[in-house]
Amino acid sequence: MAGKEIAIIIVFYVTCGVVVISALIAVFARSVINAAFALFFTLCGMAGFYFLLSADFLAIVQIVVYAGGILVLLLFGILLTHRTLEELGIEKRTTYIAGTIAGLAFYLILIFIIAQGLWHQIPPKPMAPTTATIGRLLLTKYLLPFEISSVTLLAALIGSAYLVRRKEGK
Amino acid sequence: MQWTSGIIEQLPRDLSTIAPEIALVITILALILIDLLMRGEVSFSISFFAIIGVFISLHLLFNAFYNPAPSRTAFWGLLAVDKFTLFLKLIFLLSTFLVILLTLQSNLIYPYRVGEYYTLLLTATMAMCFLVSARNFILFYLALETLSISSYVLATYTKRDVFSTEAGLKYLIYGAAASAVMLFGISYLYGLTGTLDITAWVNVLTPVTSLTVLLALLLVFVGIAFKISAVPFHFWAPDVYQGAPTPITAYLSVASKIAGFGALFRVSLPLFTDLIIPGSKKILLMLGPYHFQFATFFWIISVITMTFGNLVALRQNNLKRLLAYSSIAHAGYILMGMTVLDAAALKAMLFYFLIYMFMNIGAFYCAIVLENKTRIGDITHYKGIVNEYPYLVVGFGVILFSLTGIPPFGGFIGKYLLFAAVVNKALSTPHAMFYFSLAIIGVLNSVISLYYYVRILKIMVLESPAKKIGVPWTPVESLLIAIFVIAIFYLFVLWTQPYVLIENVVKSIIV
Repeated sequence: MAGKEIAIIIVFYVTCGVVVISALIAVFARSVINAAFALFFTLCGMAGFYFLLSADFLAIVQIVVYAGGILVLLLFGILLTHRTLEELGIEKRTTYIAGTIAGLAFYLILIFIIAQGLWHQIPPKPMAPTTATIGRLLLTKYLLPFEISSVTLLAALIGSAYLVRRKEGK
Repeated sequence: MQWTSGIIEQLPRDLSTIAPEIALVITILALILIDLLMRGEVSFSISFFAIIGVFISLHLLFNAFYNPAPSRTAFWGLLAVDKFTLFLKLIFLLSTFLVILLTLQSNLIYPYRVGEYYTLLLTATMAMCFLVSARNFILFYLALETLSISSYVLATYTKRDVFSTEAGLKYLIYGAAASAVMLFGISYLYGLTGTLDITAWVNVLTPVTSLTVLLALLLVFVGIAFKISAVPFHFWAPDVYQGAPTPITAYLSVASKIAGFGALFRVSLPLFTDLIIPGSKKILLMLGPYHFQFATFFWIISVITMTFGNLVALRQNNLKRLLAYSSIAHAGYILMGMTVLDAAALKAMLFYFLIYMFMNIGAFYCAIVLENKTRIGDITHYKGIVNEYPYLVVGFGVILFSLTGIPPFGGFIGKYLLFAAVVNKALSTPHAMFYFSLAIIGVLNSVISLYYYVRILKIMVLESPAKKIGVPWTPVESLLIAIFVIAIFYLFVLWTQPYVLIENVVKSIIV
């Protein structure tokens, strides 16, 4: 095995470790702010996977939108309404058991599916700029979803502006 | 540039196929502008513009319907253009129009801003139109999400009401979870097939992969079942239906539910084996051994859904909550068609959509009138209301008997076609008991539902009134009730007219 391939495998498993461990921290952390910071590493790790798959544009978008945008918003939200789970009164042990059983069952099913390895496979691609292809697809094949997403965003914008508006002007 | 060749010729043709949706989007933008420019008393003029937009869209839809263009796909195969989607779009636009009429009658929305309300309502309608014509999972998911986002806000629209806020939040959380599960399933299907084509799962269905494909489809079904409120993905429905403003409840229980069924058809169209164009024998061969598994799956979901909905509805006293459980039960009846999986069943389901739209929006209209008069949603407070509002009770009676499915009301034809499809299938397959038992359970459920529908009427007619309500009856209310009652009788007496149309529609489907 060439040195490059070994390096890629090592990077892959390190990224896996970062994503899984930080995701676990995000779920089990006592303080919401710790959970949010752990989520940062999960999201960056996901961007790492995209890099490994030679999807450079997607990786950058992942970092800019999720780590840069959504997570910062999340942190602002938490800092402005900072409370621990105990203060909110949502600390219930009993739900853990059912949740763990359901989660484990789902996990085992997924492992079973993945282990069968029936996936449609394409040969690994070298790292090359993907933006041109994406731009071309957005203006041809995916033109319609691209345009509809603008209406989606408009609806989301109007809806959220309506809901947070305090003064009820007619 | 090579990749641009052909686009210039193709785009105008493709754009003309989505003319009704474009009309809706233009209306949405116009409503926003009108709302911004005309400060002050714009409430009613905005509803007027919304209605005009819906009518222009309907007009364009009829043009497409009576223009005998061959069924085809548009936008690089992303969009199916056939009469089947046109029929569903017709139902969405008609129910949007009826919901706008309900909104004008309801006292709930007008204390709030209405510009945003109509914008979101029409956005949801546009999303449904795309959802049922999507042949590609990206468009499919985007349309579903647009529909969901608009619905979340609409369910919360009366935001000073605690129940409405609770409804919106619950809907959002359940909806987000269901979407996530569905996306996961879509990612599996993409991983298996290497394409985002919505029916490509048929091509990879082999004995080795069957379990994986079926599980992935199950995950996709979770997202759809959430929209059609099939048990066990119904938990949001009672709370949301009760808390949301009543016109929106009507919209969610009719248009959103039918959109869910439309999405279900699109994903599972290859299962309707007698619809498949001759020549694609390959699909039949691949489906062969699995066909009955799908039927069994839908059998279970259908039976659980209708039985659960009906049994829980027996114990409800809040009218909107009762109608919520009744609409869960109706989802169960319609799912009987998915068990049969043939053209006759598809026709029966399409007919059921038509009659269900009038029955259910009519039932919620009666709920709005009762709400306006009494300000209470509890049916025990409607004692003896027949003395004061005889027209309302007669109209509500027609609608409720039609929901039960007894002649001479349109609901009977809807149920008759569904049961006939099930029984015919039972007579023509080796699994006779499988289908007969479904028909028997369906009939038993209809009998159960008679009890709680009639109970409402019994309280209204037979019990003596506590005190006079004193809110006058208006001619507009008579007119609107008359529309629903006439539609219900029309669909009983002259049901063959829409049925001929539906037969044409089913013929045109693209797999």
